[in-house]
Amino acid sequence: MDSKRTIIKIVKGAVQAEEVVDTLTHPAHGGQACFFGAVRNLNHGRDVLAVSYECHTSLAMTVLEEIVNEARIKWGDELVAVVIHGTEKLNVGEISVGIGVSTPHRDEAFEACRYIIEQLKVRAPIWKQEHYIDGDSEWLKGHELCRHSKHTTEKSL
Amino acid sequence: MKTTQITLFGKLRKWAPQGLIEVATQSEMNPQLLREVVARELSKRNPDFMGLSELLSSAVANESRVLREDELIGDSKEFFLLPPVCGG
Repeated sequence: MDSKRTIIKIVKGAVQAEEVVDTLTHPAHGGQACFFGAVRNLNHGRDVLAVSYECHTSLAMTVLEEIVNEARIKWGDELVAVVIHGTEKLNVGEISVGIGVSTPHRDEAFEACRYIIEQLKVRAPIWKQEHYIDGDSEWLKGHELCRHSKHTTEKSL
Repeated sequence: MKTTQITLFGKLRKWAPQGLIEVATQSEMNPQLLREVVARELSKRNPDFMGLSELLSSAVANESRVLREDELIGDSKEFFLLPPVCGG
């Protein structure tokens, strides 16, 4: 992969938006799209104070590179992408994930940016634990990375 | 038999607070058998173990990829158990 056209990072703490935006300038690109995911203060009716993010870093880097490569195949080899995900405990309002895509025209930038965040959410080995205002905390449900027979395994235990 | 280090993530950490356990494995095991070994170890450590559902929905991975369910774990001595993911 051309490192000049792809930046993928797993960082400690929150994502700094400028790091995503500042990387996207390209003289031949007229479309730049960014997505930022932030910790919100309410989820399923519960008041959220913070969210802790945990990550299998080496695998996450590999998966995110695969996703960006797929985006490049779909929307053009000239695509520039920045993907930065935060880890550890983030407070409400802090940015947990930043995605930036630069392409010659806007349609590809919007679509590729959307593709990368949607794929990240179901494929990247990242987990989040919400911390609530009442002192409780809970790991959020997610998407399985494997397909296997639970029935068979449960029977054999 | 060999000793294999298993790193647990997310909700699974509840049953091994350090996030690490060691289990005895064989190269001929597939991911399902590895999960069963881990389930037995976690049950031994936690008489009130209630994490079977999370464990069975977890993928087995190495440093760089998720193992297919039909492949053998081979000689590697380090694996990662990945419960359902929810990044972003």
